[in-house]
Amino acid sequence: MSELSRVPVTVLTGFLGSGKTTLLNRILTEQHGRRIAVIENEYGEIGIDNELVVNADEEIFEMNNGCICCTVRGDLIRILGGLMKRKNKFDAILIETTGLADPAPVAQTFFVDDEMKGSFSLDAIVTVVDAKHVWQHLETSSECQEQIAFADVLLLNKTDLVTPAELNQLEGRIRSMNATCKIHRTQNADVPIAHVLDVHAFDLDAKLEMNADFLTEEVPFEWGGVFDLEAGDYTIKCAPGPDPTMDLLVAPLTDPAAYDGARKAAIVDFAGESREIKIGGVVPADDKVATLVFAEGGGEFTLRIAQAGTFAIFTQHHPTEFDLAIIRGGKSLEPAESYEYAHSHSHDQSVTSVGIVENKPVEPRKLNAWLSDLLATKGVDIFRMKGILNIKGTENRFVFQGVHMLFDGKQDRPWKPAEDRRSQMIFIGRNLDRNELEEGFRSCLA
Amino acid sequence: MSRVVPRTIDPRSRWSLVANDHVSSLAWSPDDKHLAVATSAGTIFVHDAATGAGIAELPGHASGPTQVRWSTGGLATCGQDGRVRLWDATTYEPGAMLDAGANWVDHLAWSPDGAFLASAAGRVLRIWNASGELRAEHADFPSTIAAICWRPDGKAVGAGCYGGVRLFRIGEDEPYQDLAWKGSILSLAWSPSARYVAAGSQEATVNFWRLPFRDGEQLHMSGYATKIRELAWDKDSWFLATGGGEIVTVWNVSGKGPAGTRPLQLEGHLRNVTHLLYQSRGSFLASGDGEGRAMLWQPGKSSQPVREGGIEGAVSSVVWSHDDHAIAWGSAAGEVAVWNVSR
Repeated sequence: MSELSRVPVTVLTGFLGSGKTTLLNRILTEQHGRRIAVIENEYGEIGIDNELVVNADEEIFEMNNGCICCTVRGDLIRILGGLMKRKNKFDAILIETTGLADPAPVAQTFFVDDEMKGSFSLDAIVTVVDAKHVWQHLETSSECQEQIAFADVLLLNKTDLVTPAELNQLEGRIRSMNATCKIHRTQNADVPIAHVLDVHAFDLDAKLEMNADFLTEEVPFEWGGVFDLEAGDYTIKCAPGPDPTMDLLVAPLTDPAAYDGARKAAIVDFAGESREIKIGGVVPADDKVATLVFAEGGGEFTLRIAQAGTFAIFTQHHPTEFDLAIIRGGKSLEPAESYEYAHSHSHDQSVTSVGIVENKPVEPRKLNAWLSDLLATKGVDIFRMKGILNIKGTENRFVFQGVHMLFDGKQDRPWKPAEDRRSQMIFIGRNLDRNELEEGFRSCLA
Repeated sequence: MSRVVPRTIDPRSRWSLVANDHVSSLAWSPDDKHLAVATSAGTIFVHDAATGAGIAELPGHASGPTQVRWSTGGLATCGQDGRVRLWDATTYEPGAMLDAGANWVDHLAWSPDGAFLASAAGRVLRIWNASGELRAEHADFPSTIAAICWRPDGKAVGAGCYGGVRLFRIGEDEPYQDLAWKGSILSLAWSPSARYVAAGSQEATVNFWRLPFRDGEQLHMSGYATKIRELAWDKDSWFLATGGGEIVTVWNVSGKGPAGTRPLQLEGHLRNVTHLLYQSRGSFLASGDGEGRAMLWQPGKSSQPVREGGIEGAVSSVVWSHDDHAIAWGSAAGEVAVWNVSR
């Protein structure tokens, strides 16, 4: 069946209360010209034309062979199979998953099952996040992490309930997990419908553009913030955290836009030497790495600012891990801007994105062997994968995308004459080892 | 609803007609004089089996694929309105309306002797007698029932879902065999000899249980291209024909069968096979596929089809007449074709 006749499927994920149902209602209200079938798991709260809403009990079919990429949603196969036999066909399908649903079996259903593959095309996974309450789930809930990691489109919803700084911090954190999703900040899930429907996120015929550059550096700190500070002493207060020490760097900025340069310099500085600062010690704003040494109860240090100005502060661990506060006159300061970075060597099971960019062409046989082995051994932890490859001996780009062990790739348009023939890959997953992925990929170069 | 096209050129084609909707199910009357056609719009049409002329139109069920089953027990239908409906098989007046227990009634089957009717909706299996009285309910299935089948003696029924197959004797609450299997069952077929239950699965395997089942005796046949919803036993229980791709794979279950044997492979379809059915007395196997190719085979005698033809749209239903002298094909595009079959 041709791409045109396949019915697009949009998957809506997000925790209960995130605004998922609001988004669903908005789509249905604004798309009255199209016949949309809704498959939902959470009961009863919406009042739309009842005939088109089907309640499904999530039925996850794990296979006897244990292969997780074969895990599909039996309820969806049955319901969609039934819908396709109806006289009036549908123009689009919306699947609203439960708050705790794993997106992988939903997505895989449309790649593994022949019948579904023939009749439907997965358009995009849209994840709605409650900007205020998502923090409490980010570290502890694997479902929450996976919903973010799988997203093609992510709505940072309920932005009216948080400060701009909190929102920046959250967006940075989410960006570190999923580098490729389109993030929209919303209130009441108010987003142009074109941002969530007909996205063609899994369609290799759609124009695949990506920029993996910003993902290729390993950032040795987890957080950076911009502060406007007066001359004088501030208190850096830390509660006990997971480690007995933490590295911190305070860099004066010539202007607020200089943050990016300071970040790059800090990457170099963090790799170099640092000096230890004991409790009560002074941390100067001198662009050098300080290792704060804590006692059992955490510790307080003095941040000495010689001259008022704008400063970037980078911390080895996320400030929340130590309840880090910068205090003056009894008040804790809020950063003007805040950025999260992937913990690349983190101790927990964190979800990150790893990007690889290479200029040399790829040897296809080596790449095949490496990818097969990688997906066979690490496929469980690799949620999404996308790439544009420069294959040796071909004039065309090779584009691919994958969900867990399922890989879909094809020849794309020819490279343009003025275009850099660069291979770019992005992996989104849990426990990704950047060095291993880079080395693996480099071993495939011609 | 439809225009009947007599097939005068080929005497083997009796007639065909084009309904305006997906044909979801077909059923012959017990005397083979009528053919009931159920559609996805919910309506059921009854045709004269000899000429194709329309005889009755039954309102049937609310929108969605409906099923029709006709036996000496009566004429029964089900649909996506949660109901099973019995009809007077001579006047076509509506009879009892039965609550199947969940919204989509996906499976309906008369016991071979026409004494009982089994319905499956969601996780609920219900057994009714021919007048529509509830005889038994089995509601604690771990997931949606994906297939049901009767033991040939009509005294037990099997139901499969994700997690295995349960066999119930009529009148007993607990299954007398629990054929647990970690995988998703999609189809079931009880051999006419009653010795085997075969099941097709989502993960492209066919599983055999020899009854009475003892642990460790279950057989898995794998290597199929796709999930398996097509299963058909021949009358002697020697052959099990299976779909799961473009090739019809036929296992020889006679003797020590099928373990260690090589199956027959019938090649001819260019799309995935969607339906398989053996005659009840003869040895013809009918197969239909996703682009409307319809074929008859004699597995074990020839690897070539003995007859082939076509229908508009994917084959969505196939039924042999009780006397084996005719076969009716239905399609997703709404065509119904009836062939005469001699011998």
